[in-house]
Amino acid sequence: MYKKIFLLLFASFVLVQCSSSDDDANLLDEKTVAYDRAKMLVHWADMIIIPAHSAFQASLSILDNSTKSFVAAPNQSNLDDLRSKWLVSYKSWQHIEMFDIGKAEEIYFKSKMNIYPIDKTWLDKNIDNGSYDLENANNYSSQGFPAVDYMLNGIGADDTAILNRFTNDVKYSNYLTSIVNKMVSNTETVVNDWNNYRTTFIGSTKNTASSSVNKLINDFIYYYEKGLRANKVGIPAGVFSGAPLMGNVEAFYKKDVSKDLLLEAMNASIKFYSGTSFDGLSSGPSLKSYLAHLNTQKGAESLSISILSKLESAKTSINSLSNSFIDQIESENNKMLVTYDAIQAVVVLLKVDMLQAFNINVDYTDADGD
Amino acid sequence: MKFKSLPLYLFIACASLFLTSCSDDDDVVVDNTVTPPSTYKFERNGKNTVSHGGQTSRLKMASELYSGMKSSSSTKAGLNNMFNNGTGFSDATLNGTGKKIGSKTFASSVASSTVKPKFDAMITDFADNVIPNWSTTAANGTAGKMTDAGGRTVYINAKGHELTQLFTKGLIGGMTMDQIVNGYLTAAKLDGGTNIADNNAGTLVEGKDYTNMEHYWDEGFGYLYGEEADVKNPTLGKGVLLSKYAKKVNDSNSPGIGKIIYDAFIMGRAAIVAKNYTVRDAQAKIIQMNISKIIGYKAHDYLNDYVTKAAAGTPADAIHALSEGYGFVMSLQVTNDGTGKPYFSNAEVNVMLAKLDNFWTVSSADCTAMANQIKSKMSL
Repeated sequence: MYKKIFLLLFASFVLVQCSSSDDDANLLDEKTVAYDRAKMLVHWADMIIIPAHSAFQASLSILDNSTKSFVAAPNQSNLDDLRSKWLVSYKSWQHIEMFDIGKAEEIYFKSKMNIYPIDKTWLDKNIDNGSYDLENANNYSSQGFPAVDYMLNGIGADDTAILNRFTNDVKYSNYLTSIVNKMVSNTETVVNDWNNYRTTFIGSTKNTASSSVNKLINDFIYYYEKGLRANKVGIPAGVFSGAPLMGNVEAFYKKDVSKDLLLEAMNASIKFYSGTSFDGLSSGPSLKSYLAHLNTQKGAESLSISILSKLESAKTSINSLSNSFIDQIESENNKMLVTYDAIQAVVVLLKVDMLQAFNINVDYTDADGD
Repeated sequence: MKFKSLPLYLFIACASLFLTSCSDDDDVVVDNTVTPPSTYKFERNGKNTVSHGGQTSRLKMASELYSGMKSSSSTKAGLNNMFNNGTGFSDATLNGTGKKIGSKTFASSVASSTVKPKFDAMITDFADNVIPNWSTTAANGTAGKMTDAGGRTVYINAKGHELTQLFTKGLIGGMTMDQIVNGYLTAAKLDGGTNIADNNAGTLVEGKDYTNMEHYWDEGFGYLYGEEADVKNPTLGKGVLLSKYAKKVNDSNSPGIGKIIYDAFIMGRAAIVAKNYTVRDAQAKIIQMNISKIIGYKAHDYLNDYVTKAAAGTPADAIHALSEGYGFVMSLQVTNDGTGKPYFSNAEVNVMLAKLDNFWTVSSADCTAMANQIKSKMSL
């Protein structure tokens, strides 16, 4: 009998001491536990992520229809239509690239949708061969929006030449159809998965490396730092190289939409940070309100306000650029660099100050090898 | 007997549980008193754990670039290769190491990306304008050479800039200081990834004798002490970058500043070994502020030197001083006052540099005013 009591007490001690290290970690920071992370996750899922994915899927479906019409009749009017649907969908994509979580992460969704510059050699080879494996990582830079950009704007010197390609050799239509189909099916996989994944996502509120809150915040910062800051601005402007790399601008073949795409990405980032719903009609718990709740100060200013005002100045700076970043880099690259600085100023606040306030670790490292 | 002793068993069992069951929690007191060694010598199991070869390489590269930027036999491609590609050095051990100065020039998270292209532009200007006019007499708007009676000769661009000085003094701030004070010694860098957990657990970088955090601190150390014959007994005054001017400031403006910085590097590194990050960050702050002051002193002194030498009728000397001053002023934007902020922002520095733009027409009064502004803002 005493043995039983002993065991019971022993067991209860183990439970009290170590039952849930996640909760204990939260208790370390009393202010953190007071913020309703669960509510924030529900808002993110239901008002931002899932609607953004639905809207994107719809835009892609329209792009798919236009592709079918164009392939059936490759004429100027269908080409113009397809290009405009491509742009609408590409802009819509800017709202979901940051959500590299769940199925999207598992199937390398963003790599298959938006790696640029394209690998022209591989892509041309794919078109010629007519056989390729789009699941192969070597083909990530031969599919998605940048590859469609090349097919619609880059495979001929002008529209006549481009239309001639499609008219004279079916291999171009085949490849275009194939990559658009792949975009549609990958998106379907991700969108469908959110039906199940939502429950897991909103239930994972703890402060651990694998929790939804920590992962999505890290995803957002990673996206802002790499996908937006580096890929769209820094790399083409030559921040990481000896000279500008104009071939690395987003939508390189269409040329005059690089600013549009960046602005869209910046708007998406501002909305996510502020907790604005995807439809723009409401707002809810967010990184901004979380910071405000913690009352974190940066110097004399509140960090939540400071981040927002720096995001807004970055947007203003983007607005001052040419529609085509190729033109901007050629005429006055310094303006690209000034914009880069404005975007970068937020990275420090997000990655250092905000994460410190949330007591969350960065889950990726800079590969700036030394 | 069983009755009597049971509570004791329980007490012992419970007490031991309390002490051991959750050893990774913060409420367990660990001894992290920092006991610094007298020199920068750190070992693990008898093996040296200090390594900063990449920094030493870059410091040596900078010396060759400094010479290259004042030699008429240099070429644009050659200088660009050295700066951006890490190749083309006469010291063959520096070639193709993967280390590049260009990628570490005004490259920290707080540095403006608008500055680095100015270094590329200096290389172009030197190769395209200064070298072809090596024997031309310089004038306002004309690159060439200028010689003081019985004294110094400088080779300058159309604005009177002695480019090797702007370039090299710019690197003192833009590479060595920026990498130390805004890069390696910041919590953002030191605590990145899983560094804290790894350092706490003594998890070493694969194949190395150090933890990532130790190594980052050492790399910061390397940008100042990387050319010392013996880091356990540093003399400063090495190479052409920060070490050279740390010695000058230690020997004149601020005696003892060298020891303050060295001791803080030792204490901070010992703090990492002791897993005491509060002490570590306090030492980082000391280093950030004092290295920033070295740059402040030199910017201040060279601006004043210019005024003195211009008044003394030695224009080549004056231009040489102002060229150094320009580079140090450029560097001010990546100082760190210990809170992560520079003493002068990029925009403030650009205002100063605009006043210094053309050395042929620069105003001595402006130079004096800027020197005073720096002195006052940085409490020199």
